[in-house]
Amino acid sequence: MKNSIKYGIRLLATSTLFFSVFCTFAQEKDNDLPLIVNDIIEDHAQNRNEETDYSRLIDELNFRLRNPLNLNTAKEDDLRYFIFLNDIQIRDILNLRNKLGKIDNLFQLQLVESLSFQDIQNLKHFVYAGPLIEKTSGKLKRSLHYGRHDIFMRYERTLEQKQGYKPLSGSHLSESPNRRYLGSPDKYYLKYHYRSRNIRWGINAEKDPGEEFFKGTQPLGFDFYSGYVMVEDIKWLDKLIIGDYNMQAAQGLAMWSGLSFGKSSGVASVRKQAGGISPNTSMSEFGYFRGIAVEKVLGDFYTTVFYSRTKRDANINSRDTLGDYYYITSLQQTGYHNTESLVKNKDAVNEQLLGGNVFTKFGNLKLGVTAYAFELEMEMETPAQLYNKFDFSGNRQFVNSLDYEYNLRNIIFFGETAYSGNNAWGTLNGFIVRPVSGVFLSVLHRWYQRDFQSTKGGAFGENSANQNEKGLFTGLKIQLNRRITFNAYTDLFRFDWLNYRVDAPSCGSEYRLKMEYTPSRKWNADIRYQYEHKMINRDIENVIINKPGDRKKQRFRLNISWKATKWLKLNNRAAWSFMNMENQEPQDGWLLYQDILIRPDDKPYAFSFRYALFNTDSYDARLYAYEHDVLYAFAIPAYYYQGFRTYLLVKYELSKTIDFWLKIARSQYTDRTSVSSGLAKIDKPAKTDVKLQIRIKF
Amino acid sequence: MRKTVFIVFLILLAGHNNLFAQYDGSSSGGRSAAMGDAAVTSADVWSILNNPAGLAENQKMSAGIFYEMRYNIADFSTRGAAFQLPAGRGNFGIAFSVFGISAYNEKHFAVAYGRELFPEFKGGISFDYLHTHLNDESGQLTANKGILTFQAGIQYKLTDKTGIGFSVFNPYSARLSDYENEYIPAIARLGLDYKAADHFLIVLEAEQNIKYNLRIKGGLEYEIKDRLMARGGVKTNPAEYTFGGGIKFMGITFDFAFAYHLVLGYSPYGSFQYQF
Repeated sequence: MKNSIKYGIRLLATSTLFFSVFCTFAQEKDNDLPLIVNDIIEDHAQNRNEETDYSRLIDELNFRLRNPLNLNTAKEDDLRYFIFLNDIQIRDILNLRNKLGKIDNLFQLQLVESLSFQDIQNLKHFVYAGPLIEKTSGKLKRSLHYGRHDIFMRYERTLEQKQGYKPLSGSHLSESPNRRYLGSPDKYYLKYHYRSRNIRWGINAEKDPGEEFFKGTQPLGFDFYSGYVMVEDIKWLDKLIIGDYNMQAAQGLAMWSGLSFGKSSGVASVRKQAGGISPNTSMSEFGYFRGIAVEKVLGDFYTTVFYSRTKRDANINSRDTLGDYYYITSLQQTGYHNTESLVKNKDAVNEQLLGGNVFTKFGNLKLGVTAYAFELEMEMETPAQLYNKFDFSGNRQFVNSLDYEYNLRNIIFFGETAYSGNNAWGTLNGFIVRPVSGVFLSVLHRWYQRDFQSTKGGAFGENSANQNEKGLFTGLKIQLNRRITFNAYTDLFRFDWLNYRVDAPSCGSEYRLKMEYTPSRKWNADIRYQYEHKMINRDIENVIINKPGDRKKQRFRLNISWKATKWLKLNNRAAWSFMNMENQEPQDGWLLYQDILIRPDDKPYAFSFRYALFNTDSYDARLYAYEHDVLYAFAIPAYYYQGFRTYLLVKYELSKTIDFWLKIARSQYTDRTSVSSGLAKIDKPAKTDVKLQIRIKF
Repeated sequence: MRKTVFIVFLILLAGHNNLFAQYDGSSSGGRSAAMGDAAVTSADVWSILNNPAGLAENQKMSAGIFYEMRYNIADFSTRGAAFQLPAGRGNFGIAFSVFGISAYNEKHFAVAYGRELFPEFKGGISFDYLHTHLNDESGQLTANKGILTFQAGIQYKLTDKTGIGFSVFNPYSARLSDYENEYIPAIARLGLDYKAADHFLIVLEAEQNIKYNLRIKGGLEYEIKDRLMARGGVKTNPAEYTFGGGIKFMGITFDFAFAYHLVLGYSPYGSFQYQF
């Protein structure tokens, strides 16, 4: 409904000329998500090893780029998608609206003290000050008519031949069938989705490099298919998803699937913004649910119920010689099925899950309950290691949690306490406060027992699983004025049990300081320093008991971006890392790059170019840097060893309905003769990736 | 006793074998103890020990006492008192503190003077007598050693909202004993405070103890009501969080603080100040 009205307004209020300007403007912005989004994603990637799919976030932000949110009708939850805003800022915006009655134009946002210049600039991309229309329930027919279709087709390939693609003689192959990739090195990606105010649907399909396509082990073509249909606000139905979906509740201690941000430089990120159920639009082959999920407001109770039945990739073993008793040794999350053994593990085990979430509000207090139970087809028995002694085993788990949020003047308290069926607890409590204007402080305490098993959770923590961890995080943001912002955090944590590669109880700390300087629209700069101390096993061979040693990592970076003209933007970065591990030589690394971004408003093309030089002593001293990529792909490569990397990204708008992207990226190493190891090994000191993408929207 | 032995063991294990000595540069007064130990810019009766330049700020007679129990162990406690007297254009101060037990203790006497040297620029100096005592279980074998050293410091206003403080304690690392060349470390501190609003203060300090790595300390103070303060802070090397509060009542200020170390636990701190 909102959509259709907005379309109407646009048609009435704008001349064709204005309309075309708007279109190119919107186009231009497609690839130009606010810097903060890149920043947050880059931060996030630094703390993770596996690749994460940021589709959902980009989806939402892109949707809002095209369909800006009306600030006068926006609900608190709508604003939460703007991850660069924190809760107090969101509340202040809503308070301003209440005070003024109506926000007439976006300049009035400057009245919100807690918003910095940069926040307002970021927000302007996604919102507008529209009329005060009441939200009305949508009509299916209209919704079908005013929606938008998007089709993405992507092709990717590494040009150099990897070890796994080399021909292997028949005898070698029968001896060790896993020494070869099954299919071609091409990657295909297909994504179709439709979105309107009340209805959405979509299909994702992907073939990873090395997987077969329409033959052999993949008779259905793509290795991975995913799809969903979702209806929203139609008649009595608040939200219904059939197909693949994600579920996020409270602070994520019990239930959190899909994108999740850990520590990042923002105070805001400490409190998670649960999105409830949402369709799974990502290509991640793990972590989503498949089934049916319903959201319904019953009086004052916001209720969600979900059921899922999926197949998971797993490594299966049999215990007795007859092979009657099967059990799972590990669940796999990579989604790669490019060797014989990986194909064997594909969809090896059934998982069923049933759960629900209810929350209600009493004035300033919000209370919620989450509960779910899941069952695996077979027992899980991870190989006995001391560090995973308290991990999930068996085939059933029940987890429930209680969460709260309380708003007291300029403080928001929040927390969640969860119980896992094996009689273990985890709890997380904190607050965000704005003691005076321009200052935000956040404090978060977490306490997870070593045997707490929230297998579907994803709450704040240093470890990837919310288990065996105690810690206190404090974050501080100071907006000195509209130009200068400081961001700092400290996090101290301890693990009372062993961790992977840490053969003793250990503790650690992390500090970060960031200063942003935005003197004008023309340019901005930021400086960042990060220090991390953790304990990890020392690299000593032939010892029975390894004693963890201190590992200190420091990173420093300076970033300057400069908008030279309307169509030319330059971006420079210098980054340095330093690692000090007990019993080892200190290692350091640096990275320097120049970005050139050309985006003429009135031309159908845009270019991004980077030249980067890097030199690190080891993989451990690696540095990450966000890279522009084709829409929906997020590249945050790690730069390590010695060499240079260049990429060129071209976007061409063939017509109003068709966009085209091409990216060529090449890393060349000067200190070695081959890249990678194992099946991915390349016998040349270079790696070249080509990516092609077409989007059709109508 | 077993707990003490255990903690000592932990401390040795952690490599901070001097952590519990009094001359480690930790600040005095419950206020700075709650603000990550950042005290070089503060101005109260505890400036006698923290940075004598702070003595110049408030030309009034005042007195204070404090008690700290490091890692919640009575044997690791420090007790002390301070007194300040206006004199001419500045203040005189004397302070005394003791760390330890009868078998091992460290005493600290300080006489200080601080005054405004130029507008918005204060300076101060203290003479410190540090006395270390050690005896065996029977009390027959004893060792005593006293040394005289000094601390000098300055504080000045950079802007209305921003102040800078610098002090150096025992700049020549006075020798304590010829045995293993033991000395009292020199400590230099540089700090900054920023008054973000009338009732909100941010402090930041870097401390270089000649024996250890640089320590960074940061703290916040928020005046909830006229007489009620909330404080928090953090310090590095070793990493500790601190938090606490303060209440003012009939000229008496009571400040309390807790420092939290990940392995060693909590250290409570409390102090009373009275202004005549």
